[in-house]
Amino acid sequence: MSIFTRIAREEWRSLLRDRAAVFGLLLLTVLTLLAALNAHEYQRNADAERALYQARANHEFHAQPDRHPHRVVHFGHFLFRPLNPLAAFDGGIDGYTGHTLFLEGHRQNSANFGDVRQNSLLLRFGQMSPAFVLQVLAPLLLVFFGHAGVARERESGTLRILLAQGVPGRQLVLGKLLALGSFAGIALLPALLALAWLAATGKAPWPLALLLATGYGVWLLLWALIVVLVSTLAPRGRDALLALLAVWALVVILLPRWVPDMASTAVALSTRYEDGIHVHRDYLALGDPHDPKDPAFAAFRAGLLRQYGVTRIEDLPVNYKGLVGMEGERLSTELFNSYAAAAFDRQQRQNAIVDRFGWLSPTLALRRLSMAASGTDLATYQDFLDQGERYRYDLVQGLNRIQSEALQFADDTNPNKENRVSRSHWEAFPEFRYRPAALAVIIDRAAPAGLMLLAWLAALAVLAWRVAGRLGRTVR
Amino acid sequence: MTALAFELRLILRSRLLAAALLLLLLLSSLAVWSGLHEVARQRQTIERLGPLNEQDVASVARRYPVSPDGGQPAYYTFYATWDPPGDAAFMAIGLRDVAPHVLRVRALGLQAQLYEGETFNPELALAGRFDFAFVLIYLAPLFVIALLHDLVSGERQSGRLRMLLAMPGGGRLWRRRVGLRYALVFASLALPLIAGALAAGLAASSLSIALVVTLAYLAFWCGLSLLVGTRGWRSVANATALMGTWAVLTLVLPALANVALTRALPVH
Repeated sequence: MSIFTRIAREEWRSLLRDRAAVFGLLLLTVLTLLAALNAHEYQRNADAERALYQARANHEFHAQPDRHPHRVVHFGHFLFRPLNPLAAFDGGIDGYTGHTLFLEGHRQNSANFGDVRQNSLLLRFGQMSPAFVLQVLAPLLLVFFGHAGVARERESGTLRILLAQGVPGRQLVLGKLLALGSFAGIALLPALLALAWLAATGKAPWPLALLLATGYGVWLLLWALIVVLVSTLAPRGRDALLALLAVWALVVILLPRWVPDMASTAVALSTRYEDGIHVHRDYLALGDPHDPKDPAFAAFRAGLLRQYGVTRIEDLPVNYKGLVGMEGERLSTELFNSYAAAAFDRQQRQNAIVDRFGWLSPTLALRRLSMAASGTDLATYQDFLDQGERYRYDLVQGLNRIQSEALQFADDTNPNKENRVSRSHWEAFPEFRYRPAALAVIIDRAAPAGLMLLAWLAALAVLAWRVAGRLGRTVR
Repeated sequence: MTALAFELRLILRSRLLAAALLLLLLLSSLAVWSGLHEVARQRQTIERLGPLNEQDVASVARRYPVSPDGGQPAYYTFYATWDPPGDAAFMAIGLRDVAPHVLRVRALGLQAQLYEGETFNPELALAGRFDFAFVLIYLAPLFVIALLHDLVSGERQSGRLRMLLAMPGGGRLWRRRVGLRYALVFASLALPLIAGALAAGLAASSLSIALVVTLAYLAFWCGLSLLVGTRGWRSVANATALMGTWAVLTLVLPALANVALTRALPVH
């Protein structure tokens, strides 16, 4: 047996002898499992509920009677955001974003009914999930039970004896790291089991489960390194504990709150109120697509007449009202999308500021990696909104096309005619299917944060290596 | 008085304690400033939107110049509603960052407007705001623990405890030491708060409630620290027990309570 494994074994023995350490580890395990089970059940119920309502909304849309296609445009449709199974591991922003999207013509609605507005204020204290346990509580456990590692040997004088007997400083520090690292591994185990179960039952893809497992493994290893490093540097165990607790409070509690606050001051968002006024003003300037005589569409009309070689819109082979509706929808959607893109861009700029601070607080980097892999970050939410918007556009334009092809212009402009088309038209519309982002895209989103964590790990490892090498010289 | 001044000099001479108090003062000043800034921003938003809405109302009126019964303008006009932050809002932003504080409503399609939200960045809202309430609830106990966890054990470990206990009027000494630390932590929190209250024009009654809450919360943590500190454990054991309690009270229990609450009263 080499020296460092023997030191690790001794350290383990002292950890096991400490009843508080065993109890803490047990508590963390129970908490992780409880959190995972609860989050999984919540996720399953929410998903089942949303699938049920989605089916009901689909049925109501398809079961409309024979009617004018434009009435169907205004009848609208509901979409429900499905919940990623990995949200059971890291809920991310799920509680803060709406999950119900109402689709209609001439308008882009926001997704409503987020948990944050319909739950108690307790939500703001943090949500219990395996990610929360590993991000916040597990490092604290490592600090509590690892800070004494080297410092204890120094205080009791055994460090000098060990070094005098020819134990290399690096072997000693490596042994302590091995012990604390395996302690962290046990703390990670329940989360790994939960991830493996999610992947094995086909609920989540293996690469993402592995990415999460690696990310959190690196995170805990990082903390084991910090703890051993401070324990090696500090003159007394007490100083090591206080310094580590200060680092933990700063990195895990303070910076993740303070940095987002700063980002929201740096890049201001505009309110829905003013966006609503501006969008509506620009929308009115586009002209009224319900009115075939609106002068705003004169150029479009002229182009259409030239294309078909006729002089009057009554002579067109298709219903002009449907076509002008399509043109109006195209223009208004362009307008809405430009406002939505500007709003999203501002939020992304805010997030980019927070991400840059990952170099200062690895918690921020880990959170980015975790949310991206779990599909509970802003980018994934935006994916849903984009797909919903595309579905809305195709739906409205499909109905406009039916209006232009199935109805005659003369009939459509006659207020005394009912102009219903067969309900089989809406029955033929495809249902909304949310497509999760491709694996490569998700990994791309998580990669910068992963690199940041690895850089942290490498920097600390180099530092620990140098400090441990000098251990023999500094101890008198 | 001289004994108190002497104790104060002892605290200020310990670089760790002095730095901790200064840091707390800095953090709570920053939090109060951040809260005041956010409240001012929300007030500015409300003010800025007033004229914008008047323009919008005028444009609706222009669009429907002839409406014999006034029906169309009544239907299509948006009415501005706003919820201005109170004078004490800077202390705890609460839900004001995710709930709308300005909203337009109109008679057309009223039902759907009940559930309209505000644009906010969910990733930024996730961690919560950095305001005075955060500093008080989460950070202040850490400083109390740092200042008090080794009050007794530190003396024992440096060999002075028996001598101190043998001195006459020993109770007064410990009361003085704890009282001074308690007062210093309270001052680091209260001074920025009072300054912020003056800047915000907060009524004296609201401010005194906030100060009493601060006093009571700090008293709880000081009491707990003393309770643990007088058990006769080593400093490290004290710190571990206190930080463990802190983590359970501020991190684990609220999260578990939220779980219990959503299970007991699910929102569909």
